[in-house]
Amino acid sequence: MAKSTLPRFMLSEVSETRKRFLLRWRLERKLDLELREAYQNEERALVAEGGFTRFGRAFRPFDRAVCTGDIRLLPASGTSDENRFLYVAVLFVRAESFSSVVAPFSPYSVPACKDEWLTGIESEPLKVLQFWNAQPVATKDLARSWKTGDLGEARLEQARILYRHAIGGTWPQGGLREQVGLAILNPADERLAYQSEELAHFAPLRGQLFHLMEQAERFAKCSVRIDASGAFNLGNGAHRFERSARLAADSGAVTSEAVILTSDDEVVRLRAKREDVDFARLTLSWRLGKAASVALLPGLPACLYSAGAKRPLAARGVTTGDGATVQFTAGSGAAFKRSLRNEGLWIVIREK
Amino acid sequence: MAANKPLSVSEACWREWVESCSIGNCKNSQTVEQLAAFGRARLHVALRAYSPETARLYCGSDTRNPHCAWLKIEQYLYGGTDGTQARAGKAYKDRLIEGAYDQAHFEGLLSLKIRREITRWILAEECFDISQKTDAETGQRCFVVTRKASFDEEFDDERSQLDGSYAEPVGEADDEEVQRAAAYQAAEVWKTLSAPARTTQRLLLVCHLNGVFDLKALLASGLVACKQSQLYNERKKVFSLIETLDWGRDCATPSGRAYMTRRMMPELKKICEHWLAAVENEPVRHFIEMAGHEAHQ
Repeated sequence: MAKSTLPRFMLSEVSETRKRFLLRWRLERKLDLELREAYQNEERALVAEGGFTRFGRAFRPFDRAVCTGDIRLLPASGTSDENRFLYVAVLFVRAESFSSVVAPFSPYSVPACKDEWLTGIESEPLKVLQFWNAQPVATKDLARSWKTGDLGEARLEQARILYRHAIGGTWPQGGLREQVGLAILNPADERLAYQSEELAHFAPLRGQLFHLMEQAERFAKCSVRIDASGAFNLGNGAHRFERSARLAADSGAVTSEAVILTSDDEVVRLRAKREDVDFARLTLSWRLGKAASVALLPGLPACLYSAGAKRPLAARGVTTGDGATVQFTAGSGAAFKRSLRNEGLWIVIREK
Repeated sequence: MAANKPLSVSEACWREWVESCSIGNCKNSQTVEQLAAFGRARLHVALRAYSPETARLYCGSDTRNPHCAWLKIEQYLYGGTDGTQARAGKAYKDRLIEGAYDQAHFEGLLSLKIRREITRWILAEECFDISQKTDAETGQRCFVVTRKASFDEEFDDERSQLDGSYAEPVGEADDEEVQRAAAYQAAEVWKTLSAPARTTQRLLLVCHLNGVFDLKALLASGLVACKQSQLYNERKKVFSLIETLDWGRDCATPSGRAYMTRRMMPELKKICEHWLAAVENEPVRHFIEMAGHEAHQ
């Protein structure tokens, strides 16, 4: 074969430190499998029977505002294995798709493979991040978890670099290379079994995200009519809301009617106040008033309707921050213009 | 309560622990005693099965700090980033409560964490290794525990297995060149096997890349006309061709060659899939689908 046309490249042997990662990982994995087998009966006995009631003691409320860089502990319902305490780092929050990209932390103390990173955090559950297992989850589900810490700016930046390498199948350079594990090159490698176990933990959250996206699409297509009296009809007459009496003007603020369709199939009405308008991006944000019975989560789909058009839907949006701010983006200049009206506006938020 | 049920913890004591930062902040001496006993008993049983000496070290009556086992538990479970044992990092307590349907379940979840995860963590820190053996006389499986003087000792023992197994591209540019070299060599291999005298070898490679290894089935398919022994020889020649590829003077080490071969295989598979998609190769495609299906059953 003509060697002359073979591209030239340089390969290097991996460092001793990274070889140690793999040996240490194998040791921990072996111990883990042994102990899992030893206590498997005990684990089975812990599976909750149907119809149980939760332990009566109250736990700390979830930290609902989801931000990039957060380190969060998911609740039992967030994983397929209730015995696993699943910690994740939030790499991106993507309001437009109601989702956030999270990377989970490994149950072991050293990186198992190329796309795992020794974070340098001392706490045992936060030592290693799994970028190969990073995935989008619904932000509203992530809002039902506890924030336990923060990656910090520098670490978040490094994490994002490594995430890009994991996605692209490329190698990090310099110091970062020394903090990741060795690549899996053999199809019989025991690390593949570990990866498939870890991947399975996200099954419930993956399913919930698909469901939410499907619901959001259906929600935007829902039939809506605003009649001459200003009454709002949603879903072919399933819900009808009379326009409330106009409140006394307060310092010129633009307000809108708002309706929340709750997860308990209830309807809550409240008012919202317009906060910001971005003419360049065709976006506007609204702040919802307080409703005693509802604590909204970020990442919920919302629609803004405006009277006086054949198709009242003016903009699609999502709840952000603590859940009480709704960020809308209009699909066109004309729709944006309609969403800037001072009256005849309705906001609908769907919790499920 | 402690006198009759020394290993149980009352709900009031759990409540105090959940609300306090750690065992050190619990004011009630009963809480401290009960938590320490709870952790000590469970960790002791789990560790003793593998190393009585380690069990004594963390859970023995002569341990200097009687709360040692419980502190180890709190240390393992802490999930904060600031190292100050802040309350946010103790959300594991909320997770335990949220995941439990009654106090017994709560204690069960915590016990399992102690016996499985915290025991694993301590054994790994103490450089214990476990291997399973089958007793020749009874046929029963048992585990053999060995302890290394240090992790480095173990590292020395096993490093020979890793030496020469892992090579990587040096820089980003090398990564791209590696990819191009892998694609180049894959095309060369395919070209070599496309010679009329090597069609059987090409067929064997196609089968191999598609996970079909049963040479008897290949013979029975009528796609090749030769003896079984000859087929084995031909397969050897295919592997030899791949193993002896010249990857250039900068890639002379066994680990480098092995890495490049692994990078080349997906490229070969791509060429192979393209070849299989051609109409004239339908019989081969059909055989692979059937053989692959049977292999999975």
